Amino acid sequence: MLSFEGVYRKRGGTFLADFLGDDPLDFWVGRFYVGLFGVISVGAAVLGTLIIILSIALIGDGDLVRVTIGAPLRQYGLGFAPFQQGGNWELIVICATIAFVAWALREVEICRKLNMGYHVPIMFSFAISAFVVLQIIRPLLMGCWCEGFDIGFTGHLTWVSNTGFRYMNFYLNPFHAWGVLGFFLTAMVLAMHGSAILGTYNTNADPNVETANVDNFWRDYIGYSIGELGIHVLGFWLAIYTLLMSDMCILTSGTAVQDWVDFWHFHIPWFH
Amino acid sequence: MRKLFAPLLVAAAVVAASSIAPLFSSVKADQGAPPAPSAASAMNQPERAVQGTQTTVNPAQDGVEIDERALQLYTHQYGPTDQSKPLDFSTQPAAVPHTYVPGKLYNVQVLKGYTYATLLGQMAYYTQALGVQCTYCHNVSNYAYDTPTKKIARAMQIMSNGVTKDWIEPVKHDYPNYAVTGAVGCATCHRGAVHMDVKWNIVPVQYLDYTNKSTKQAGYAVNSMYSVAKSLGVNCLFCHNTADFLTLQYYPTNKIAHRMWAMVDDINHKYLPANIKAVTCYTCHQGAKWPQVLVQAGLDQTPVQAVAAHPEVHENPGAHLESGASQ
Amino acid sequence: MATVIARTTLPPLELPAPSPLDEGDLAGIRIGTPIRIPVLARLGISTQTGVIWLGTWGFLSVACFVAGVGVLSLAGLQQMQGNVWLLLKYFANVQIAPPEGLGLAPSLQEGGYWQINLTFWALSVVFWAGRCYERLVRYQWRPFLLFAWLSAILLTATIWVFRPLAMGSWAEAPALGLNSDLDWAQNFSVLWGNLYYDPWHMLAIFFLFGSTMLWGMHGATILATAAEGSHMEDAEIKDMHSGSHKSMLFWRWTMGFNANPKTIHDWLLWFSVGVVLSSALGIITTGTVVKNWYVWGVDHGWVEQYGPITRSAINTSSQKPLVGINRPEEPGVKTPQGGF
Repeated sequence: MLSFEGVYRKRGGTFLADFLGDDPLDFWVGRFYVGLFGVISVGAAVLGTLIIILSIALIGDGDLVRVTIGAPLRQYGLGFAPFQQGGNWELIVICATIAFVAWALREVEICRKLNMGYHVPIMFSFAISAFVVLQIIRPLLMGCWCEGFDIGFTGHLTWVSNTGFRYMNFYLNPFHAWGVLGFFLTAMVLAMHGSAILGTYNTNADPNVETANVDNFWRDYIGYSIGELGIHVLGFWLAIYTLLMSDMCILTSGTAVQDWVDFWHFHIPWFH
Repeated sequence: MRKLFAPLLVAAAVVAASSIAPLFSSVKADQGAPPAPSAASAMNQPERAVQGTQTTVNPAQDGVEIDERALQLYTHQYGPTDQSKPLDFSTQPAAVPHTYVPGKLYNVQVLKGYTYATLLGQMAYYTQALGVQCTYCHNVSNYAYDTPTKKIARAMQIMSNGVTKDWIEPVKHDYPNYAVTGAVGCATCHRGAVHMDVKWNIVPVQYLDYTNKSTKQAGYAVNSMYSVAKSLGVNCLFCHNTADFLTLQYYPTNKIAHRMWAMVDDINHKYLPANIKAVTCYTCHQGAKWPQVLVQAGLDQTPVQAVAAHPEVHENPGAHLESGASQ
Repeated sequence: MATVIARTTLPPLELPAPSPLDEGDLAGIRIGTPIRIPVLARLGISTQTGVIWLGTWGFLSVACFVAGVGVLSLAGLQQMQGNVWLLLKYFANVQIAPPEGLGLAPSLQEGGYWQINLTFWALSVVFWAGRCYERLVRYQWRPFLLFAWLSAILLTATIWVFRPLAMGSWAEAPALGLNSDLDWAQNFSVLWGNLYYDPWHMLAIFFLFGSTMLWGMHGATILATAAEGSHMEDAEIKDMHSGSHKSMLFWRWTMGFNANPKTIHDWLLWFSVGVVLSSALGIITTGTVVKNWYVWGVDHGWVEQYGPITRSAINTSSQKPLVGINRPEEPGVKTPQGGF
């Protein structure tokens, strides 16, 4: 345990405690908090990993970078495919989704214990949404599980490539463009914030003056200083914006729009 | 605010439903209403002999009797531009009698060997395929007189014969129910209009050569692929596995496309003026993988039969890629 | 978030204290007066849009940038026959293309504008780096920001200068224009065997998505504990209080690992710098060392072989001029400058 940890490590406030009074799963294993959702999450993750290992063994390709567990074929629609023709993919996706959601709920429990805001599990939910949109929601909208991405290191890259070209030029998807903008802005702002803190910490000045130092630098340099709280507000909302745009870009492809080049051939009255 | 909740919910549901509704519409057909000229069965006349049976037909060089002035006219215009001006009949070939003799053929230079009735059938096909009347090419007081449009028609007929002989006949064993002669006819491109739809006619085939170029130059080829895809009404996966566009050229459609480009290149150089490369994929395909007019112009073979004969050609070889497979 | 922002008064408008390091600069002035935008307080961000420092470096940088924009506008207007309305309407499609080969462009329209504009903008970013260095010295920061900026310049220089030099033609670089830049990215990937299989590209994506993930984690963590002052990171690095304790414990209990208020910023900085440096490596090795990433991946066992591979089709880009498919000699055929 860390030096200050003892005062924070308290039992209580968990989901099961509301039902059972005393939560039998409310304990730590080393530094890891367990909880009901920890059991579910780790259990689903282990099960999913075992299915992956079994599938790889059945496929027989020894190269772990190259081996790919493909999504079911179109003929199976939204039903269950045989294990080696996509059923394993379906099971892995189910296990992964359960593991991710349980992880987020575990984070909620930890936030309650530490009496902090729920920002982290909210952010993580947006990250989960990207996976769920790609593997579950969009296949449901498109009518078959075959629309999800294959599970495999280089295999999923080929899926991305094929899906992009299926809609002719994915760069022209406006949501994709806004998402790319979000990613690059995030990287830039991250570099700015990281270098600001690393550039100024532990100088021998009064910390209040150091803050003013940071503010004054940014005002000199770019005319605006967002503030030490504000930069974290910006980062939080930038990440959410980026994930939202990513969700939108893939949700609209194949459903509303089949050809992103043709999408731009609309006519605005008077302008055209 | 609460009073607005129910109508807003209904509006949101309507918007959501209408945005998902396109999912449930049937897949768009490849093509709109195809032209079906009934007189086009005139193409299928076994007694007609095709003139110029060499494998390469070059009107300027290969001794086919064609008026040199036709080529001149074709270089500078694509048809009479001013319909109000009367056609000039002052100079006509010596063989044409001044008085029209019904039932006899004079001044036939390309459609040689046709009987009278067969020739009239061919003329009827012209009117349907181009959407014109006889007066578009003929002086009705003497049908044998030459006119500018008649000369263009001769050049066009030579092109039709040449393309069929050079490019369709070698693969006719794939389509046993086709009558090869006239397989590429007027209607293939014109579709009932003299000036046909040229919506995706923007890419000269020569720009599809990407090898040994800078990224900028080769980029023209990549950009051009879009109009090729739209001309056929397909997406990139019809010919390509996008894991690598360059080296994975094993799909049957990819090989057919190469042959098709060679055909388009050949047509542009043999039959069109040097500075105009007007024929592209769209000219014949008009947005369909399988140009409807070839199928429905009174011929026996339909896409169903074609698919049965060669499924790997006529279906989308990249369909499984759309289904999510990587390969 | 709300607990921290609920303040009744806003802090006073600030100006930096005078310093001898500001004195020696010819253009050493601060422009304007600070303006307050109160509504920003509701979002939790600073309300002062402060004065900005000009400086010689800044002046030169802005001047070169504006000159570049002027050159672009001239070139764009020329392409649209002087019609400003057309230029605005087709703004996304206007492109100013590079010349073929290395060396000066034969004329303004065949790559001259491209070269002049990029010269101005290259000078502009270098002057901006000078401005960055000068301000870092003035405020006595460790120069991480300069390192990040130079990395970003390295990536753009790789795309627009180093790789064209290595490949022997300016035409390897993107044209200047919105759609043409997007097309370049697509064409580049198509011509060199699909950049998804470039391991430096994979690393760059890992850093890019990782940056967003880290930003989400760090931003959310600080906002969740801001009530206890964890956002005052300089102070927390010196002496941690309950906010930082909770932040660290949250991650320790969740995933078994935690950074501290200082080291998390190491993660942030190196991930974001990793994006541009990996990208630069990926770009410079494409077409020079590796001519087709898919075939390279197949040969090294990374990638499944999806079908027969036609190795002769690998792009060699040996700079022969544009010719027809079957016709080596094509007099009089017009090739469009600037594409479709």
